[in-house]
Amino acid sequence: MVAILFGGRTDSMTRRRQTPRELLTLLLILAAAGALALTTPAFREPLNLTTLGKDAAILALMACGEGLVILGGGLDLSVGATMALSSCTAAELLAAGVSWPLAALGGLAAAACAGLVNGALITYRKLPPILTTLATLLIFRYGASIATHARSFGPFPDNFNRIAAGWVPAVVGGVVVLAFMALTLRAPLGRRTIAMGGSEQAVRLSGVSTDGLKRWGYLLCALCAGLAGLIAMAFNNNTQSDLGTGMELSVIAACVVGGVRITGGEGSILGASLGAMLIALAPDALVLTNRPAEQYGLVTGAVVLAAAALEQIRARRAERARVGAGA
Amino acid sequence: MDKSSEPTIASPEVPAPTKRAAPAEVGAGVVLALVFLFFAVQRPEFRSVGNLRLLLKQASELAVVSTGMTLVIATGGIDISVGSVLALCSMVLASLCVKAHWPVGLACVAAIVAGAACGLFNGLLIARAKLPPIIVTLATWAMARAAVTLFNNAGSISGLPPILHDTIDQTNIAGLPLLFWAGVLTLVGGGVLLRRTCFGRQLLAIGGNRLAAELSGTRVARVETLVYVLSGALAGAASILTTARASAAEPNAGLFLELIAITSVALGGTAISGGQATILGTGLGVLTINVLVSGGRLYGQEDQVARFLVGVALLVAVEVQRRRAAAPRH
Repeated sequence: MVAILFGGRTDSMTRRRQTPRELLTLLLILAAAGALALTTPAFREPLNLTTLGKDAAILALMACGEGLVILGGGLDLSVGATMALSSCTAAELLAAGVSWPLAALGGLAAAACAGLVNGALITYRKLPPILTTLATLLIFRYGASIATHARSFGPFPDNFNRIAAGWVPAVVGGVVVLAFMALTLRAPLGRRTIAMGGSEQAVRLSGVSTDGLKRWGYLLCALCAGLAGLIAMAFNNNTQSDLGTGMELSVIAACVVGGVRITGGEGSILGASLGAMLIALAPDALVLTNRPAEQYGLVTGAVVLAAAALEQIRARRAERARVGAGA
Repeated sequence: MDKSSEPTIASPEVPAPTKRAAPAEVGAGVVLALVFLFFAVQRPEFRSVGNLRLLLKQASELAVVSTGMTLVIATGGIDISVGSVLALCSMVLASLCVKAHWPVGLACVAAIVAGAACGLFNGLLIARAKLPPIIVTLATWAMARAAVTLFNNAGSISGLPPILHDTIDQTNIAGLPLLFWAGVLTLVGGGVLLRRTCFGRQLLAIGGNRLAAELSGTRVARVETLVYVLSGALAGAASILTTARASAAEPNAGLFLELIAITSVALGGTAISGGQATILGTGLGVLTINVLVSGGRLYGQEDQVARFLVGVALLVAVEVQRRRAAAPRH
């Protein structure tokens, strides 16, 4: 069971099972949630729990896609803008009287286009991912803003809003996380993507199209962001082209906190989604304990730094073990 | 745009290894000229002295921050925290002036020191603890923006001594605003630092090949720490300009500034992977962005059109840069 969940990582030199890197994040979530549940009755309110579930699901969904891209050695800064693009497209379609499943599909299609654009620029034109997605961040978000005249949409039909009612977002998020875990642990696409993050040249020389892997990565990442955008708009019963502003950095923080190495090749989707849960918990905890929610940046920043330091220590130890075993 | 980039590409049938490639600034220069001409022809009011003066004034903070960003990117690093650090320093400056009644000059120094302290925090974690720059500055970005809300309950601070606004915003030197000269002076200083000093050469050496720089005696950790301190201090200096212009410290000051600064650096032709940098290019990139913003406003549009165009310009610049990098080697 543990092997399935964590991908059965063992130290190939000594056959000693390593402590899964996700364990610490999981323990932190349990500790924080446990402490909140015991000390703050408001935390246990169903409304708070479902809202928290929605926040965690949105962040975890996006962390799945972003995690896949980062594991493959890339980076996608345009996820927040893709959220806005997808939700504005869906909102325009709903406003035009299109039935809600079609409008939702339209939103996802817009997100898919965004992902294809990123993937095409990065693979066909060989542009650096960080600059490409920085440019598409501006293009998608302000393109959506120009196209919609920055107006606010909503309210939406109740049928559409059901996708963000109660525990639905949490279930959707959970299913997507499981799908991505299966993808990265068992499917060739995911395995090869992680290998590409370790050494792109090695994967290419073994006869795999790394460009194809990258295009899939950015496409899936954008689709996740699009779905997150739909959930966010349905929950708010309102959307605008500034939806998800600054989300890209929260999502990257979630991946880092979950133990995904920022340069790729190491980490897991489970870790990224656990990181997302931990980061979603921070503003809720601050609000419930009567502190301004804006201060969650202090908590998030500190957690990100701690996670990065831990990753550094882990990498150094692994390096030392490798040198020791070699000598 | 493609036409304009042609002179920068060595034609494949003439493999002349001794021929020097066109300078990296050409791309930004051509984009700037085209954008400027477009607005100047389309909108006569764009050419007015008042509008051009305003444009030069508005470019100053971005010029100051982008100078630091260029130096950081020259080492192969990145500093995402500058926008938040600017807001934090602005709050420090305003609260020292308004609440603690410090003299304005001293408070300005304190703002720069606060910026340098944030930079030192980044630099030590990146150079000594060897954490990835993007993660460290991402964390500082989040923390500094959150720390802004600790001042005055997340509200803005106004009621600054009028001398700050009068001195910095209203003074003209040689017929041009002081703000413009502040931006130019910072850029020139950055250029001299990069091209004419040992420190600058070491920055480029680290960006080009860290191990080689280390082995040839560069104290990599020290130089790298210093460059982040410099970037933070420049963000602090830019906060003085922002605060003086608005005559208030806003919690939202410098939002997206990091992305815009990175864009202007990349537009200018500095390689994002380090080892090659141009301050002149950064200056041209800063002007291009400000011309786009200023021109967009004349069309009665909010900054959305300008930001959209900045995105397009960035893609064009990156594409031009990639071709330049690819061309001489074939």
